[in-house]
Amino acid sequence: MAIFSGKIIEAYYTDANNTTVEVIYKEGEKAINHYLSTDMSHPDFKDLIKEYPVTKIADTTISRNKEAYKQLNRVVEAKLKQKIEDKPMQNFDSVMEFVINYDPKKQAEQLFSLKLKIFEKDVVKDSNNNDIKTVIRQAKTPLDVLLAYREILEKNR
Amino acid sequence: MTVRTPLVYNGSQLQEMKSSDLDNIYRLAAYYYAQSPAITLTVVGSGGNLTSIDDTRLQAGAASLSTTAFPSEATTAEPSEITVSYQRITQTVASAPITTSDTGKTFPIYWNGTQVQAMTEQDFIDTFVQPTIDVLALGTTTSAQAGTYHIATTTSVTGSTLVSSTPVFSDSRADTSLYTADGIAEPLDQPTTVTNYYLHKIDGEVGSYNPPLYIDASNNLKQYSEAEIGTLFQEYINNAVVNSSSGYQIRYNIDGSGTNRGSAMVNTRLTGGSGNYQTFFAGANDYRAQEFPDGTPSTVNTYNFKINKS
Repeated sequence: MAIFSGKIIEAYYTDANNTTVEVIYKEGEKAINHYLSTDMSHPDFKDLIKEYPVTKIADTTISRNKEAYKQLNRVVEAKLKQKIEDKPMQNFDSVMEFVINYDPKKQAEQLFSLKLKIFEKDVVKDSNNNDIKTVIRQAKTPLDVLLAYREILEKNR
Repeated sequence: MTVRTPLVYNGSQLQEMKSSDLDNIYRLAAYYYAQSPAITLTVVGSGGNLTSIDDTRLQAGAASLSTTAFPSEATTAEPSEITVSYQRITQTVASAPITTSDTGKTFPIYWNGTQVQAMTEQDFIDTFVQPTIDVLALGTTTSAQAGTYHIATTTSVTGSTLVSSTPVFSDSRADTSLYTADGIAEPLDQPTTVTNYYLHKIDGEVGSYNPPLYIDASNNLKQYSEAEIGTLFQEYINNAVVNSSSGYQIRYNIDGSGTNRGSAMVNTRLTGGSGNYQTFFAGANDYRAQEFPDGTPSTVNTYNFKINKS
């Protein structure tokens, strides 16, 4: 009699080649795992398939794999959602929200990116007006940045 | 090789042992072997003499930092594999000489067809010792395998005694829940233990049995006391498992020859992932990226602890 005999909760293959089976069995209030190589001549494996046939092991494996696949999908979806939330400037509404209702706690990084973009403009690079450039650097909102940029553009006309 | 059929006293007359009587005697012999086995295993922190086995797991790639923009996924280091080797089982083979001298009436009796006769030493080995060792080396873990060892995933197994609370192998995997983007640069190796594997020694059990008989100094037939026959079994089984040249030595190994004993030890790892790329804006001029372990758990190695009779 194997250590798990009469107490099996479930058993399934743990590897793609079906060379190892994990048997989960009940011991008091605990669920214990026990691993077996799929050796048809071994007494423990014989005890296992007497109580939990090979077809049932295969069925349990498939249903566990399906569940794992579902879990993986949920993780991927959650990550995708998080990525979209992490990159809020991907549509018109979110850009308008950034400009009109700037939130320094959540959007400081975007403000910094906006400043970098402005400083990459040739008209700003070539400008000798250091005061306005300082205004851009120290701007606290996107609107301040854009207004300072407009000033440079107008002075350049 | 000559296997005799020993005689027992059934309360009214002598009779030959049945196979169930012999099974009970083998169990008794295993019990006495277990009291002082010549082949013992101990658990050490490292440097055991059984094969080393590896636990592998993923660790995060090193974090990349930039002052201008987030380092791209392509330039951020991929998660890598980390290996922890376990060599925690030491096998000790004691010396086990035969000190008993055969007086001609030392060993149990049998019916030779015309009269009662004492077994020779070789008869005793063939009749009791070798069949007991055959049973000791089976893959099952009952009291008939007393004094031998097996692996379990728990520290408590009914009918066995834990050799050490130090696991002989630990299967670990990266704990993906511990890695967070806000924590970049995260420590690279953040494992969780999935399963610990422990070494156990099977307990002996005397059970009920009918003792064999011997011829005493006055040429009377007498039942062996449990200690008398137990001592003989212990001495001869120990001698055979250490010194046998006819296939009755017992040794333990991992993934060598022999029969699997107890739970296999599996090394699982996250596989199939490509690295969970995450970024963190720590402040002005401080852009960070790191790839965390990801994938699905799967068995990458299965190690079997074995008992080998050779």
